[in-house]
Amino acid sequence: MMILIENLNKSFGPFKALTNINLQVEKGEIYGFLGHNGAGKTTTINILTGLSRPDSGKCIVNGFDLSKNYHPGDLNIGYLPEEPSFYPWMTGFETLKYLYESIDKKDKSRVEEVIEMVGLKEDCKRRVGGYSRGMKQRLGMGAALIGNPKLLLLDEPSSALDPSGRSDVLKLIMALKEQGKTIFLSTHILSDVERVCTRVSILKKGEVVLEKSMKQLMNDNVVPVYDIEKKGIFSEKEMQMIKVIDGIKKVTLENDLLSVWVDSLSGTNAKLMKFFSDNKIEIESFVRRTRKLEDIFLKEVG
Amino acid sequence: MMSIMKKEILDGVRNYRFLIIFFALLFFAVLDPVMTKYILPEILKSQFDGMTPEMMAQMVDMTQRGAIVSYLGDAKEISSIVIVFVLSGLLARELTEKTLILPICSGKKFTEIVLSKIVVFGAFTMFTAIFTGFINFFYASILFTMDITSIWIILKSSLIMGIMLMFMISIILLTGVFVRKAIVSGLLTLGFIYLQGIIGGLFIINQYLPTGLYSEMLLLTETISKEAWISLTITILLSVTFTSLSIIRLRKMEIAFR
Repeated sequence: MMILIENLNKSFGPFKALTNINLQVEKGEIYGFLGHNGAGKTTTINILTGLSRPDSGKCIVNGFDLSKNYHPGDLNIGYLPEEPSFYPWMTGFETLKYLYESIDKKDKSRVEEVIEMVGLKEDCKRRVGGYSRGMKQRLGMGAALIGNPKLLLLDEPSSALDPSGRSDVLKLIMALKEQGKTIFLSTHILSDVERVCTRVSILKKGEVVLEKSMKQLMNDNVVPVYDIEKKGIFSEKEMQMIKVIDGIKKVTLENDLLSVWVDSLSGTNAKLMKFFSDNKIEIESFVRRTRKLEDIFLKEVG
Repeated sequence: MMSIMKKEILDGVRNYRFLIIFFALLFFAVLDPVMTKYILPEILKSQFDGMTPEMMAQMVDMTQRGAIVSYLGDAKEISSIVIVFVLSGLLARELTEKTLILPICSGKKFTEIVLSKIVVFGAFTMFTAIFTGFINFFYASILFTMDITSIWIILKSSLIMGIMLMFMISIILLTGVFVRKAIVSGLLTLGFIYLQGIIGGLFIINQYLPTGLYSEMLLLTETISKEAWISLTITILLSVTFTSLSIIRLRKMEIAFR
């Protein structure tokens, strides 16, 4: 296990930022950590990096019990803050070299390798002060990766990136997963989570309101509806005929898409298929509707 | 430690900290002998009719020694203000701008961070104080008859100046880690130095305070007086204490939320 959090609490004066947080992240997982702004995601990540201390609770990161006041550099983690801060007078290359030197590794090609990995090869000789927010985010990603850590804590890694940059980051995350890295990913971009995460939790006002594997979450949120498209438009007659099939509750047609509400998902699809076959209705798509993560998120956090 | 020191050197060069410190001291090292020899007599002549060279000599020490003392006084009072404000953001700005987060996560130790700042900027100000001290000495020796021939006198006074500047850096680091605002850190440092001067003067305890070293610096003697040894020891002890307190405070604080 890479991260274990038990009954974690953190307050800032009278404001309770985290209340009894419990979660665990297994080795090799990409863990999506979701929540509104101010829900406590960054506070949790700051505690996991050792940069902040909890008021109470147990927190084990990469085998290190954080109650024993480890130096953040000893945890062998890579951390990308939401808004990474660098020395504006250093170049991108110098920044990564400076960070790499403190890890005390002698492999000089590592800095170049990471620069290429995060797509900063052309700009690495420029001073960071002149970088755009997206470039700083890429450099931050490089800073997180430079020590080749087992665990990566990424706070909004793609928030400042354009669509192609986001896609690059997601590809990089997938590639890191292939290398066996564990990634704890806090983000607002739910489509990113759907694409890469194996497990998610949703934080609401400092409390975890949901924690599940993505697969389980999607299975739990299947809606008993089939969305069907055919060549042309379904006629009123066809709709009436579908309505009388055993197990069908409701049929609606919107923008050429026929939505069929059913009592139960088991068996109904076969009946529908038989109907289309018997009536020689050529079907273009037949999809079992699943709630998107966005719907689940909105349902959980309001 | 070497990589952090290299970073501090780069900071000093690229943010012109070294350049400003160097010129803040060099300016008076070069200007004061010229002022004492040429400009001040002219000003006095134009302000007071019938002023004789003897009267002038009573008002202003127009000798090599006078030029050196004048430089040391200006360096102590004016250059040090410039230096304090140039270095006031050394730690405070790193905390407010959160630039320490990634280095810390990549393994830089708090002790290394603080020590590298005091070593690099302390060594540079010390070196500059000595260098500009000799510039002033040689320039004053060209313009005036040489009263002072021993370079040890200049070395001693310049070293004291360097030690005082290093002491100021230790206060800058301590105040910076507590208030986290460069300008406030600078003002507090200067306030601390001036307050010492006032207290030392009022209660005649300068010899037990770092400011006692200033009197020794201006004496221009080869040997160090017994009182100055006390001041020197206290200054070094305070510098070490302030530096240690800065490290302890950094270790205890929540860097991410500052």
